Amino acid sequence: MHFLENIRLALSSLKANKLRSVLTMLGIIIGICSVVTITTIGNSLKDTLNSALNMLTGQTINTYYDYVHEDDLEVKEQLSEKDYISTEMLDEFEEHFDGKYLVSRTSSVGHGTLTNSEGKEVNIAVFGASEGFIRENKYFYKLLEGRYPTIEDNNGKKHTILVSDLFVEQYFGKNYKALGNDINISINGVGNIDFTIVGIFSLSDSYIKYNAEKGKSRDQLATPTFIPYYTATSLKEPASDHDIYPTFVICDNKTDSKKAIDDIQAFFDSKYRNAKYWKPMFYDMSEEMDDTMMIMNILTVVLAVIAAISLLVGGIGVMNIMMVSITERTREIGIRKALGAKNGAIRVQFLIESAILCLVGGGIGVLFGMLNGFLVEVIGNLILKSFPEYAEFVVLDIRVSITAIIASLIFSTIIGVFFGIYPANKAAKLDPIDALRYE
Amino acid sequence: MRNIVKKYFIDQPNELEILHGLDLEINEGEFTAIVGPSGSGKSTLMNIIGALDKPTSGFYELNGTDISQLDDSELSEIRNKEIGFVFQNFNLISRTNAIENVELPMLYAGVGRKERRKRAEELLELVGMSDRADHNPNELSGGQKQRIAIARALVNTPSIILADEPTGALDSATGRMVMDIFHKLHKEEKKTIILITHSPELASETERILTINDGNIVSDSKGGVTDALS
Repeated sequence: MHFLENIRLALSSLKANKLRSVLTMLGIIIGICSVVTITTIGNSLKDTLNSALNMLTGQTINTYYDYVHEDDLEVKEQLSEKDYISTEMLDEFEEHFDGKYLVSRTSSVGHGTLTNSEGKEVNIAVFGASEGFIRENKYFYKLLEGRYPTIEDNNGKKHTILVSDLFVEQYFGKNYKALGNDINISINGVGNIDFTIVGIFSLSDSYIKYNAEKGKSRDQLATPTFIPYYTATSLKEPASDHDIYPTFVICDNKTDSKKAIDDIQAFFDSKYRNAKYWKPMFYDMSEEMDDTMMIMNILTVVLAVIAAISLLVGGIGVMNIMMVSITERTREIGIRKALGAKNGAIRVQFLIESAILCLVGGGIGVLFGMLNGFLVEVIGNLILKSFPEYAEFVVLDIRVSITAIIASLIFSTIIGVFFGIYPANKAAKLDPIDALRYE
Repeated sequence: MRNIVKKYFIDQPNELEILHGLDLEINEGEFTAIVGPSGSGKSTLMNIIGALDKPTSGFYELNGTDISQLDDSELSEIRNKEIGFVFQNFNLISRTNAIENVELPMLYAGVGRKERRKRAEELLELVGMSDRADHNPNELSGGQKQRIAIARALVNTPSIILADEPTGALDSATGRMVMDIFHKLHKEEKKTIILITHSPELASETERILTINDGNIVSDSKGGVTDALS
């Protein structure tokens, strides 16, 4: 007998008992629905957390100091200034890696004032920053046009400046081509220093919103501007000759953080070859993130297992109904056998019935699970919107994994077959004479 | 069919021998009636002839095949291809319409969908039920149901039509109509028909009457009175 005929047969007998079929499926629907809901929400939360953490901390390597003799538990000398990474080392580092890894360096210079051609006063906050700092904070300061401050800008203490798009609007007017223009700034009241605009970045919406809430209008807002790091230190005070805990930024997409840590460690190990007590060590957030992710994973699995138990209960329900159905249809089985149905044909008929029950139940369960995921996304994002300072970085994006759907459907079919085997065998082994006589 | 013995509860204290070594030969094209009171072994004999059951011992050959040696699956095939059952209580599958009931034996024989439908329509035509093809059994009268059942029995052109009290659940007029169909099948289609009944009247319409009592054939209108034990 053809397989399709079996399916047609099973469908028609399920259709004949619509209410019972639906009630039987309910167990499977609820089971699959909870599994899909939990895995969907779990995975999406994990993705959301992952991308948010990546945005805020990704691609950076941090520094700490460790005792050179790891096996020597007794610390003989405290960490002191001579152990710190020096500014020269950092300069050498940037030169050595030639843009592959950069050092994030920043210093605050102070308050700047400008007067434009119309006599309007515009305020800015002046910072010294290396390319590494702006790249590290690329989610706050996204370069729209021009370039980052270069090593040459830095070493030459050049008077170049990166300004925000909002500053351009305030000083020059909207859509003005400000790149390459010179501006004259008075910094902390000390006057008339010329800078050339080499880059324009966009301010994040949350920055503007955040300041707007503090009562500052868009027009009055003193936006940050960045001049080369060494230019800044020369304007303000002599630069410190060391940087205790520098942050390194990976600028090469193809390099992962483990490789970067190895490279950076190797570079500084050569500098600290003769160190007796302390040397710098490097780490990134990925390890802490791995721990967080592991906890999320365990949580998801545990919840999914609990949900799977309800699936098991649903499966037992299917088996129960199949047993009832077979008893009820004993006579039908007898007739089929008398008309030449082999045991195998009867077995397949009932197996397919229970598999279809579970498969259809599973399909409906997946749909409801997706719906739940969608509801969580809508509600979650509504809640997130009430925290504007995070809204830009944390976007709840619920995605139902195709693998989860396929796995659910396969799993529910397996349940159908598994819990169908016993009833189907029972039906197949019925004696045709007894079955025909059954009332 | 030679020396057919059927025992139940074999090797148990309550062992029961229903058929005591029956010998029986039915020729192609014969219309035979098997009569006998309840408990005579008539149903057991019918089950064995219909390949629903196997004799405990003895030899049953149908069209050159030794049925007594076959396994379950082979018996199913014999039932499917060689036997057409007509039951007293019709045994149509409920919630399945008339034409699908008629198609059922062909489904198990692996006949294609289109061919099944065509053949089932032919047979419904033969029993005069074409206009009821889409009706479910519960929408049909007893006589209509039995005609559907006869169409179903004929669908795989079996060697034997085995009718167990086919008129038992019908009033005399519809019973008459069903019997007329059997006569027609016998005369026009040269079918081999075995009619199991306890009604001497119906039996007398056939060519040959076998009387069973207490597990033995006590008379055969064709060969005169026989005694299987002698």
